[in-house]
Amino acid sequence: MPAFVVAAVVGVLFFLGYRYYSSYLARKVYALDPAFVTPAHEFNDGVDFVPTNKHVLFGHHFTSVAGAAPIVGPAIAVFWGWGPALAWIVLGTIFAAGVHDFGALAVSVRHKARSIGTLAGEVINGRARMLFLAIIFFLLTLVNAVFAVVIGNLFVANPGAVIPIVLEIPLAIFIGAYIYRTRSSALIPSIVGVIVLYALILVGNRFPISLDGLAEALGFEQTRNLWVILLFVYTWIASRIPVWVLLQPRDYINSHQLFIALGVIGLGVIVGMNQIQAPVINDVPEGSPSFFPFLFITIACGAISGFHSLVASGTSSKQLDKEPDARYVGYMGAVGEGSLATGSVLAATAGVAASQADWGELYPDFATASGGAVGNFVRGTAEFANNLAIPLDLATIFAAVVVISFAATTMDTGVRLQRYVIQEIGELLKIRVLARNLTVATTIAVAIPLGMALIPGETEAGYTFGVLWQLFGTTNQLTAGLALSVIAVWVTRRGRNPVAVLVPLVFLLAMTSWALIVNLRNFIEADQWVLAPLDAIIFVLAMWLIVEAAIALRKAFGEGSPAAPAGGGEESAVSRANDDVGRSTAGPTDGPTGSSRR
Amino acid sequence: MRHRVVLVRGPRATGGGGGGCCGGDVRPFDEGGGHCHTVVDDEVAPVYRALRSALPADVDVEIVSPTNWPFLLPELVGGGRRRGLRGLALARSVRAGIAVSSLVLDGAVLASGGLPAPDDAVALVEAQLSLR
Repeated sequence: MPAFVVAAVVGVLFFLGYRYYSSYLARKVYALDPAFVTPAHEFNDGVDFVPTNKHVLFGHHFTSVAGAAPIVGPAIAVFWGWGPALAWIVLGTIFAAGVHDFGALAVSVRHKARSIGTLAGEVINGRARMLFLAIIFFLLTLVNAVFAVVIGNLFVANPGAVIPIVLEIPLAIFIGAYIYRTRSSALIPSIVGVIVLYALILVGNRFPISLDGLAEALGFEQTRNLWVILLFVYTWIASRIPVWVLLQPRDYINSHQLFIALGVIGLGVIVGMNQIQAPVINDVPEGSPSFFPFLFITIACGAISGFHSLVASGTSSKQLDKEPDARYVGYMGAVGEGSLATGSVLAATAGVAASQADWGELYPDFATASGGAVGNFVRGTAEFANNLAIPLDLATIFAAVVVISFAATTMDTGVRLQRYVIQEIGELLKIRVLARNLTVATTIAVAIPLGMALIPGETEAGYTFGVLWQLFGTTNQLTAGLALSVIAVWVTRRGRNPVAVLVPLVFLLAMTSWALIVNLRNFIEADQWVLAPLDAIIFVLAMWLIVEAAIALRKAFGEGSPAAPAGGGEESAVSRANDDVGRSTAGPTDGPTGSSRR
Repeated sequence: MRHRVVLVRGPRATGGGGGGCCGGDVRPFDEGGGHCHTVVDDEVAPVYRALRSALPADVDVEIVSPTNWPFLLPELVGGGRRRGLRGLALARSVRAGIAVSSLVLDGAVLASGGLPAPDDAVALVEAQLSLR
């Protein structure tokens, strides 16, 4: 089947989902009110709280949620065939991610634009806040571990990408300094930055850098592990320097790369008329993980990602001009992420092989599929770029640079966020050194994922990566489960039909728990005594989440009636004046985030 | 006709960092403490507040990140073309408008690479609006 036909069908389904399902959510579930005064207006300070045009806000929101994660998962999941992978991406985007991202934004707006961690404590109970902290701690640990492995594998497989990626760091710092010192346009320097970055691909292609010799001399069994250590050393430094020095300028470069990559995949598929060379449903070898439940864990970002609730409730909700804009910003953000995941599926099925037999050699078993997934995406995207007359060797490095750039930025921010979480835990546990000492907090934020990433695997590609990715998927789905629980309780308390929220919540928790149990048994049988306890801890968190959600929902069903919706967390004074809102459980406050804002 | 003032943001010392799923611009918590990276007042905020309080409701005032070129580029190109700019003149106008710390009214660049003082910004925009 031609890849562009699949892309067109997915596009139509996404359009229908937005047109009809998000409209139903807006009217019946979240009951968006054009007259509602949003926190952006209520607390308008020109800093965090700024009423923002929905198209401007969508640009911010989409570039905050789109990255490497929706590329990796789908490229692994086509192991079960492109049919199940694409079905989960489409159905997940329309019925789970759209509900989740849109809902997190809508609920946060009704609660002074508070973040999902705080909302969990307010809407469910105080224990849910600690649960959120624990889940987010493991999520960030696994994010940093898996992306270190992704980058390490790509550096080993594409030594030509080393020079462009390494030199992107001083390039970004220079661009940042130039923009801020000269106060010149960010557009031209960042476009020049992209051009220089791609020019460096030629240099990298001419002078590939391999650390095989050095790794052997230092006694490393896998070259990837040396890269992983170097990456974490770099990340430790990068997460300590101000965001405007490196992270913000690199974002300028990445924002261009995101649209360039999407354009290359879209145009390349149309121009090349590539045929999908993978089976619709793959006859996987005996002993492989079954696609129930593992498909729904392997593709997290791209079908539903809990991380989006942090973006939606953390920054986007503070800028929402009118409540109905939540539909466009939240739901369309999910659709954009689903589109990127669809591109990944096409690259890993239509771009990598000339025949089904060739494709079968790339995906013979789950270990090879998971270890080689990112490489397959890179090769597939390179093939699409080659359709646009870009030489294949350069196109391959281009695709690798795109993925590594996204993954490296995610690691930088992930370690920085993990430091905040560790400090928060330190404050809760009254451990002063954790709460106040940045060096200690950052070192812990780096050391734990570094240890995870170095767990021995069977091959250079690594059996370990596949299971690490699955554990990342489960924690990401648990984050989504927590956000959906908050949304479900909130909707139920208002006497509205919560089925649209409960279905993805129950489905996610069932798949996640099932996968954790299967993996726990496998880890114990394989004597994986690092992964087994980690899996067990995440399973306990999942059970805890199920119990908290059940208790809160049972209570909400008792309270919920259209006439008398209950508070369930403190809503703003403006929202209390709204028909939709009932009793508030808390008293008046001095601002959107308590006394800490100034 | 609705008018639109756009303020292009400059660097921010704190707040969001990189983009990308699982690494985007997020704030996990709202309360104070060592983890809380509350964004401090920046150069754009006082100008924004002055414009918002002085201008009528039918004038939109937007703060836009310089990375948000999918919004900025059409805004500046469209505004420039409406004012009769073409070719190099249009390119120069677009380049000026996307500079950090810029002030743009209906696609016309009033200040580039540095914002006027809040009162001056209000006077500048009001003077331009009175001509339209």
